[in-house]
Amino acid sequence: MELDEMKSLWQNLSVKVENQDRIQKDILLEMTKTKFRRKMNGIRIPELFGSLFCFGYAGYLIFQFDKIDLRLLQVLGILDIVFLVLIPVASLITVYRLRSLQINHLSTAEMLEAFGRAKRNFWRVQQVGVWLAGMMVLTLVPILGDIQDRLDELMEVEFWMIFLPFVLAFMFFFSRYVLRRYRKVMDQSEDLLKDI
Amino acid sequence: MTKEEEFVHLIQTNQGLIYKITTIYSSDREEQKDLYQEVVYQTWKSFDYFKKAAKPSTWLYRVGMNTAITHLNKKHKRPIGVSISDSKLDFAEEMSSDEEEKLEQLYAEIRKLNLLDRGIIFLFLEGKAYEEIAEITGISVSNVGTRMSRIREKLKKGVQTN
Repeated sequence: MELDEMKSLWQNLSVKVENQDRIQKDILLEMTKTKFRRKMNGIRIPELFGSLFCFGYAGYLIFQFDKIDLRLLQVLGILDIVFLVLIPVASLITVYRLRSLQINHLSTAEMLEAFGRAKRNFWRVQQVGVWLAGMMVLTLVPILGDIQDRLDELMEVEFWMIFLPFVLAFMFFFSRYVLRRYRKVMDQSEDLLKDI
Repeated sequence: MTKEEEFVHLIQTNQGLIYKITTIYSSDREEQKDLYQEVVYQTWKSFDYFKKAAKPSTWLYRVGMNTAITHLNKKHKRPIGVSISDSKLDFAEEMSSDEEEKLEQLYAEIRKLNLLDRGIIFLFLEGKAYEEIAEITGISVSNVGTRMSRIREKLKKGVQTN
């Protein structure tokens, strides 16, 4: 099929499309409103819930900080507080950037570039977040033990024999999932950027 | 005319254009319906910009194509709530079987192209000049020309093999 033939085929389609019945006003408006409501529910709640959980935990550590006696645990506590605030903030920023791309302003080439970059940044933050979350799970246990004066119980070998393999297995499978997803997104983004 | 009425008028006047964009950027009917809803939603979201836009038609092509690009990489979703009926997306079925078959072949070959080239061939088939294609896609006119000759070859080869 030559390009001219394709063009004439397309024109025939365009004529048929133009002659179709118009979508009814109420259906169109209801469709838009439903999509709007769905977006509001689907986007914000999981992200805000996760962030609030992190901020809540950071707040708890700050208010209970004077109960942490060991110097090492105090240092780890400060690091955990910093991570608990930084990770969700960084995550929310990348999500915001991904979703606030100017669909109406950018040209197709600019959109491909901006979308590819925003998506890569989002997954970079997610990947770092997973590793830091794993480290925090390990460090938070002795810190919480110190706050609740149960450090002795946590020092028992049996506890770590159960807890450590469980955390490591969880981290292994979870990070493997995130890493796979990360690689896939990176490949997709590379393809998008190559298109330009 | 109220804002809602203006919006409805814009969509009704350009529903064919939205249909064609969603056809080349989706792989099945469910995805097309979802993308159609998304384009309509994004048009509503940025409708205030449309009123200020120097070239409304360029603006609508951009919104449609940019929405398709960002939407394609998302997980496939079922259309939600109120959905456009199948009959609104069945234009091709009103064509002769030969035409329909050729159109399906053309869609299949266009879908094999990368996202930018898909947009370029779509605009070309819409009868846009290279200058306007360059303006909408954001690449130079000479780049449009180079890409068009490559696309032409790919489509020709693809349709011949089938």
